[in-house]
Amino acid sequence: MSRSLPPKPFSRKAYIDGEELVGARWWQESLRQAADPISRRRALQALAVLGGSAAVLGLLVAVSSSDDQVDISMDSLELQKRQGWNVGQPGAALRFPLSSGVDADGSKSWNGSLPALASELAPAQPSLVPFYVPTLFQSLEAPSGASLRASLVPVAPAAGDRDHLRGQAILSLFKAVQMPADTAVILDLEGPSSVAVAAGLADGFDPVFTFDNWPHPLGVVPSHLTLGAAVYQRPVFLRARAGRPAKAPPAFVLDRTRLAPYTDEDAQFDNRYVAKLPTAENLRSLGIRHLLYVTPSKSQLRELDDLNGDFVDFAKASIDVKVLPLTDLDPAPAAQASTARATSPTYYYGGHPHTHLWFWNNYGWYAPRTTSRLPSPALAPSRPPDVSSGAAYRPALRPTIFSSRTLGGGSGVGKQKPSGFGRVSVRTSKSTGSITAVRGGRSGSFGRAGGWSSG
Amino acid sequence: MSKTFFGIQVVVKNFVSDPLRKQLHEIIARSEAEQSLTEKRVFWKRVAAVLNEAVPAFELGFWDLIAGSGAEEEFESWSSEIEGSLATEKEELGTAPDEISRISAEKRYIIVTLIFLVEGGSNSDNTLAERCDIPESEYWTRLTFGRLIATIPLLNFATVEADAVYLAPGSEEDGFSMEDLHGGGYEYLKMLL
Repeated sequence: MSRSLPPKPFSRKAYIDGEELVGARWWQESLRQAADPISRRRALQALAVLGGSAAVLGLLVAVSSSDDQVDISMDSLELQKRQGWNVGQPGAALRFPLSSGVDADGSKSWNGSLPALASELAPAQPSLVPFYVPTLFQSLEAPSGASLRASLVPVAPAAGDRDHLRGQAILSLFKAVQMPADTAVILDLEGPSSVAVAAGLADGFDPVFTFDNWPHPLGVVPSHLTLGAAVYQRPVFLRARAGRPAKAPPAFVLDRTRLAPYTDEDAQFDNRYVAKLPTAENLRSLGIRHLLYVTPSKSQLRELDDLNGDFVDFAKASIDVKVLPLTDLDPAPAAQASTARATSPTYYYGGHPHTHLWFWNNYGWYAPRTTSRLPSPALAPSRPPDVSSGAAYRPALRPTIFSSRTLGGGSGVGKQKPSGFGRVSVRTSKSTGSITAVRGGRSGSFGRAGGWSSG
Repeated sequence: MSKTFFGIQVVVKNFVSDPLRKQLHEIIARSEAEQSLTEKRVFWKRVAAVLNEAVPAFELGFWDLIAGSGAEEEFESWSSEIEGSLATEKEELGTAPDEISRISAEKRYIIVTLIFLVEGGSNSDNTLAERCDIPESEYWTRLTFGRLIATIPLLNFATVEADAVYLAPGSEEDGFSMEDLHGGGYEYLKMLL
């Protein structure tokens, strides 16, 4: 389309020359007036009333360069809720590890309970419900959930069930100090591991799941594995819920792959998300004064980027955060050697029964009563030789892509998704409002190159 | 019609004797209220050339490219927050500047912000998309910021709907300290490598 421009099309709308700021802003009015009246706004309005048929996706890729098309960027979850969990990839399969098709109780009747998963795995205590994020479990209830339910299988822990046993080891540490109600656990592990550790803790901690996305066949975050792990552990959680003390402290269950690297802009769907934890004020109102942040290994001794601001705020509110890598919990050497024939080895802090309760010497929040009643100094807790320095962790503010963003020095607006994070580009018809293609590629400052997937 | 927002903000270490601030101030002050496409290109070539000289002094920065939904809102957000912060700070500061703090040797940083709103699918949009297609590991380097600023004169300004440039503080004797920049709402700025 050609148009004739005025000789001086740019008109200055602001000019500042002061002590605080020098600046100028221009608008090219002719472009504003030439803007297509059937705009992105209309396309978005049309999207809102569009039905959930994924069949419309990709039909018009061949004419995508025509004037009838408009590209818009949408929140990935919002798009999935409108168009189905597998939007753009209706025929693609989710990839699971080999599954025996049974849950933790060996039952094959788990699939009948899937639509109720979000309500079954909600926290037992009403005071914790506001911090529960049921999004992932709700994907099974959605209108498009039937095909997801048909695709899903229980995801059993890896051989040895190490994560579950490590969860039980953490629980035993807290049982040794009578399960203090002012200490919460944050599990920030890969989704299936987090679920397994939460299952190991569930007899003493009320799990609060915070999985805030839906699975997708091309998802950056493999949340279908987390969903499958939750289905596998469901009977464990339900049993523990029934037998747990009413005022059990919370265990916030996170999936650290929520920030997984976005590496293949043409073949991935950006279902990443930002963790949602209670604020410092919320935690204090729950009576929480200590947080144990559980990471996968000694090489991960600080919080992920999206939690940095939260953790600094916790520290400012005198809520002490310390880190415990799962690898600080190991079976005793003898048990390690006989793991193949042992039923289930017991895991200990420092890898030995004698070092287990030394955890409290390092972390310092409580002192187990048992230490004063030990019959022999030889049986007293001893310093473990090879544990991490997670007890010395202190939150420190650092610049991240999730840092508060306010331009110009005003007050911060809080943690937010960076531009392009958890979003996907869709191409819509301006005349009908229908989605004509979904691009798995990036938008915003996360890059824009890449082709359009036609689904 | 879809649009694309491109914004870049950079914190430059600037000593009183450095010509950067004075040059930028003059370029902005001498700019025409009404500009032709040629004048617009010349304007941005001058801004880019001055900033190019200062790339080694870039300390912190932030940039963003947003296509489609949200682009125009982002332009409005950046411009209104920067221009709005001026009014707020003036009210807060009153009319008498603190001479001691203003000439402090620690307050040696200035913030330069450049923002653009271009037509979606235009050649300017394509240029930005191509030049901003950078590996994530290189988002926050001086080299990247230099390259992004050098992109601006390459735009076809016939398809640029709006543009703005800001230099803060405006006073030749004033500046931000690192303490200012590590708090007070500037936490989003990234350390440049």
